[in-house]
Amino acid sequence: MAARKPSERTNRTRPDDQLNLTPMIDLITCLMFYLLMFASVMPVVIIDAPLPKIASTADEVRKAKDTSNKMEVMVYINADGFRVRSDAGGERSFPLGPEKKWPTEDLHKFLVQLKTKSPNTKDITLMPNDDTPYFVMVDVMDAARELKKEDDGFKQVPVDMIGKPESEAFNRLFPDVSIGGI
Amino acid sequence: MAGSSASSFTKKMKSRNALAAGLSLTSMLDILMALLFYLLQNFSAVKSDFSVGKDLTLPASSAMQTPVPALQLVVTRQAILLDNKEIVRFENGDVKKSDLLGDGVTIRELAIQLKKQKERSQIQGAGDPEAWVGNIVMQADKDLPFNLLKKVIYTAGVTDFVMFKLAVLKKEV
Repeated sequence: MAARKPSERTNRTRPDDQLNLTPMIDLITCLMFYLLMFASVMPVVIIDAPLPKIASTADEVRKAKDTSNKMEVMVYINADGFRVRSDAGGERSFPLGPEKKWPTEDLHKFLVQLKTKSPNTKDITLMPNDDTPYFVMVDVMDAARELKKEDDGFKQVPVDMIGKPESEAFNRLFPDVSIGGI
Repeated sequence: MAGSSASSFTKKMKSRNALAAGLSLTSMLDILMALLFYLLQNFSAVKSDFSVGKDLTLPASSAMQTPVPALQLVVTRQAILLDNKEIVRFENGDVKKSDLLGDGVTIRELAIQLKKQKERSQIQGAGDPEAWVGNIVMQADKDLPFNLLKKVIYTAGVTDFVMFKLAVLKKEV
């Protein structure tokens, strides 16, 4: 067996023992740009507020006339605060708080009480004044939509239902909002 | 002789050090991976062509419903836009009287454009006018008064865009 020359030993090339990360970085950079491009910076959601429709079919007329086990809830919004009028709860006013804070918390608590009197009712009508800012209307819709964790009767949505349409059966208050006064 | 062997040894050492001093990409890769996982986690798989209009601030809400593809009606402090096209310009924060119909509520140009949109959608919808439901999403500035918004909503209502949806910003809970 012939011995290697000393020059062959010194000049031998070592195999690259490091992982080549360049293609991986290329891939990740491409993915990141794609995700950044489509990432929603401002998460937008929507609130359904269907406008009153003239009943055209016999079924629609029957449904419109069917008011059994339902109550009418109307929230009047003016510069002084809120006024709630309902068949079951009479009339109740909620004046503006200190520093003109809108009393949405008090309104929500009252609506929770009203719901216990007529659990089948889902509709609520907003009656804003002409000068009512849009964000106040949205705040009222939020207060009327669903129960909060601290409310009596709040039920935890099962984990497998979170984010699914079935979860909307839980903790509903008055989710069907109509805008009146138009 | 001894001097030349010493200089070749120094050259070899220098070349070895040069190899070891290559850019270390491991930490950069760690950062990129962390960013990638964050973005993947927050990436919404729901296809949405929703874009928030310029020159307006949407109100915040605790609503959870994701946007659906629909006709976009934008109401800023200065104008009404339909599908990114300016329809009506306001004067002193309200619709000019000359832009309203005789009832004092219907906005003429908006009604015309909405009717056109309705006809177009019905033609595109496989010729079945009954299948058309009248979905419309309104993006409005949070400080706009109801006096102005009711004219917009009423005009949408009389042109059969009754499935009204309000676009709002998701409130952080």
